Amino acid sequence: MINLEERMTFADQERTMGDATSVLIVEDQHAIAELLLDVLVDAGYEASRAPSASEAATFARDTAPDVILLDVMMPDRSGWDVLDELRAEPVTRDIPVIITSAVYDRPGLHSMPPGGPIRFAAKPFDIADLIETVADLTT
Amino acid sequence: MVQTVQDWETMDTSTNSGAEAMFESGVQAIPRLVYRVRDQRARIVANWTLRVATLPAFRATPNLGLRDVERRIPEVLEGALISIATSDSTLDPAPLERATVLAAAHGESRLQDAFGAGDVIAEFNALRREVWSALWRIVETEAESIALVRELDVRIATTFDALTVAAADAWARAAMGSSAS
Repeated sequence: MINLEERMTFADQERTMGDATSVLIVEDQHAIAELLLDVLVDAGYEASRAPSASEAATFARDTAPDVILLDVMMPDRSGWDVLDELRAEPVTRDIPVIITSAVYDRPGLHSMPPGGPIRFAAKPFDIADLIETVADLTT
Repeated sequence: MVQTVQDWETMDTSTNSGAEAMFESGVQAIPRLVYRVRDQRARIVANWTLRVATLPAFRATPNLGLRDVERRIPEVLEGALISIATSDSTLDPAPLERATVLAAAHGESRLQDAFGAGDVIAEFNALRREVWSALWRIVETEAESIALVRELDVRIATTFDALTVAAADAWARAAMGSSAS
C-alpha cells in the first residue's frame, strides 16, 4: 500500500475542502483500481469505482461524476462499448473521459461518439501525468 | 573516500536539516541527488505498479489487491536507494546486503503468488526503470547534475543487478524446496 503518511502532491494545485471533483474509475484490475482510488483521494478528489464494466454506464448515470477513467481491455465488456453507452445517455454524454489502455489503440480504429472531451493514457502511464490530465479536464 | 548513508528512517527529514547535516561536504552530491530521487518514492512505486500490471502474470490475476501486487517492493526500493547512495559497496557492503535480503524476501513471496522467475526478473527490471525515470526527471533540467549520472549509472547497475539475482535465486530455492516436499 502506498504510504499515505507521505503526502503525494501529484497535482500542482492544492485542492480545498468543498471543492472536490468526482472521478469514476472503470477498471477490472483490482490493484490498479485501488491505486487510482488512493492517489485521486490523496490529490483531493472524490473517487469511486464502478462495480463492473457492464454496470459502469448505469453507475455513471446514477452518480454523475465529473470525469471518468475508462479502461478499454476488460473481460466482461469492452471499454469502447461502455463509452458508446455513456455517450448515448444525455446525463453522461458530456462527461470527460480518459481512456486507459495497455494496448496502443489508434483513435482512427474506433469512431468517437459525439460528446464531452476524450483523452488517452496508454498504460503504463505516469501517475502524475494522469492526475494532471484529470485536473486539466476539470478546471 | 567512502560515503556511508545512515538508514533514512533515522534521519530527520521533516526539515531536511538531518539530510543536510549528513550531506555537508562537496563529495555528498550523489547522496543528495539520490535523496531527491527518494522524495519521489510514492510516484516510483505507483508507476511501477502500473507498469507491472501490464505483465501477463498480473493481468492473469486481476483480483490481486494492491498490497499483494506491491509485496516488499516499497522496502526494496528504500534499500536500493540507500545502497545506490553508498559510494563503494565493496568497502561498505552492508547497505547492499540489506537490500538483497529484502529483494530475496520479495522473490520468495512471488512463488506463493504462482508467479514465475521471469516475472520476478521483470518486476525488478521495471523498478530499475522507474528509478531511472525519477532520476531523469531531476537531472534533465539541471546541467550540474548531469555529470553525476555517469557515476550513478554504475551504482544503479551494481545495485539492481544484485537485487535481481537475489530475488530470482530466492524464488528458485523456494521452488526447489516446494517441489521436494
